[in-house]
Amino acid sequence: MIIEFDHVSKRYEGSRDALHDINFTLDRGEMAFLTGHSGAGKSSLLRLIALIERPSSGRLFVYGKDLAKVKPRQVPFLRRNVGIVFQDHCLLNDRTVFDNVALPLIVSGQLEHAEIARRVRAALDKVGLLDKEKMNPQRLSGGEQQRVGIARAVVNRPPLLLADEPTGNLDPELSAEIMTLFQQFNQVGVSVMIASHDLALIASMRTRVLTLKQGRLVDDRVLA
Amino acid sequence: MKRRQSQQRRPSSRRDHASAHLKGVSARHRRAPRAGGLRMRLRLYVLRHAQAFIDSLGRLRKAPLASIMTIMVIGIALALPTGLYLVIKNLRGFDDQWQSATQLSVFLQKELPAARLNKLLDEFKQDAEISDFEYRDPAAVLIEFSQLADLGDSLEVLDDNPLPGIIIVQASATDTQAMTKLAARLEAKAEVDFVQLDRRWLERLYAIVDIGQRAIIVLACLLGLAVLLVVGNTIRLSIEGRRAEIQITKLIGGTDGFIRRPFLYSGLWYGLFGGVFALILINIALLAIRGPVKALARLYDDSFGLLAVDLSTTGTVVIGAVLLGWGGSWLAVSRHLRDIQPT
Repeated sequence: MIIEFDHVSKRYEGSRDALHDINFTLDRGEMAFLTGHSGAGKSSLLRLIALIERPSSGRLFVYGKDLAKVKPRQVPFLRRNVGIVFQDHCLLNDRTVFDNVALPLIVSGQLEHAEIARRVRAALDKVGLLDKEKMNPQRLSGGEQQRVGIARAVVNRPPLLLADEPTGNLDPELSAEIMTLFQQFNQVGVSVMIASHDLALIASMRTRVLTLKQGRLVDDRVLA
Repeated sequence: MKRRQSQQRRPSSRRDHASAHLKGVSARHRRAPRAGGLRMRLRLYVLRHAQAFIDSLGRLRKAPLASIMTIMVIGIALALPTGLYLVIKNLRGFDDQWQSATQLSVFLQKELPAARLNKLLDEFKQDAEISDFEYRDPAAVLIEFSQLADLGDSLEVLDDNPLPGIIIVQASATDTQAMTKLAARLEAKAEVDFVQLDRRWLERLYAIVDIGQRAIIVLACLLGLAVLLVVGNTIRLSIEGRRAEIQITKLIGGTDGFIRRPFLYSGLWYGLFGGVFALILINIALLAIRGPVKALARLYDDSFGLLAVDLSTTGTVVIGAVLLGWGGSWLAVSRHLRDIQPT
């Protein structure tokens, strides 16, 4: 199991539970969508997995590791095994596409430059942006920027890929392209979890869908 | 459209990447050629630091005006105590030369009978603590005094010589304590009015220099603190300006050490450049006072040389500046990086 939620709740100070008694598991190589209205708790759930926040109660395991036992200084090493794609891309505009994608490899600091370049190009090739490596992200279209974000998330070859509304700002055609990309990663064994409220798109993917409503997991099934 | 074409052109490379991915997932230890061996790790470690070192220099260049202002503030703050230190150090060198002054002026009682005078001179001859002495009778002293003070005419008004005889004694001992003792012993003699230790005024200077030195230490501490705060504030602003980058770096698994590194090196650069600027300022200032100092030295028979920034001072300023820059940035980084967390 890659992810296991065991009676997990998250409460922000002075408000109702953002997540309430969440139970589910995501297996190795599985792909699942996380859906629900905005404010239903999709982002909160992903943030717990990425250790941006900690559960208020319950236990959460990622790669079989109890996240409650992960000390702050160990957090970076765990995050290196989780690729994250953001709605607003979160790219650095003061450097090239290549440097943006290379960042996770530079951060982990275990590879020589030649190997970094090889992997960055492989990731850019995968998302079809090999010819744009020297460009500034700001000069790319929204869809292209998102693909740079995806290349950055997978360049480290993490076993788990999280995406928070990755198609939020894209038109339907581009959204479908991005989703196909995620599916391709899933086909080579990467576990993928995508938060999205684009139900039409999700329905066309025929994968597992977890539905959140006001912080509760109300539905968990494969949409057909 | 273009993208699709490029994908189609490289179907094989795509498959390679996909299979590499599977391997990466199923057997993480086989992930491509990873850094193995101590030498490789060390090489990468040095490489990463070298990168951060150079990269942080590039960051300074990106905001040249702000960087230059920070560097100038550091330079001025460091130049002040260093310049004063040099002045004090030169005064001390002046003092060292006079440390060998072993003269005592023994002022005799007025109208001392010749017999008692001769007896005293005999005693001086026998005295082991006196290596040499020279008697000057009141008339000689008067002449010397009138020449020295340019009072020739006015002294002629006086009916009789108001001055006593003087014996200039050369002590065999050179340390102040022994000389002070000798002075007290000679002063106790009935024939002697009082004894003046020529070294005394130097000791007073020495005491003033001592106070000056303490004052410089206090000043250096305060200005060092100022440098620390200036660098700290500059780094704090630079951290604020890179908030998004820090958040993203944390999200993709950057350790605090990794994020801290370029900021620490920036502080180090600020310190280094500030230190160099301080040395430039001091040298310019020394050049400016070179003329007057030379003139003053001539009055003292060139017994002291020009002020100069020696190698050890240069080294101390540069190393001190680097440490202050690094320390200031460390303060800012440890205080503010913790506050920036991914949201």
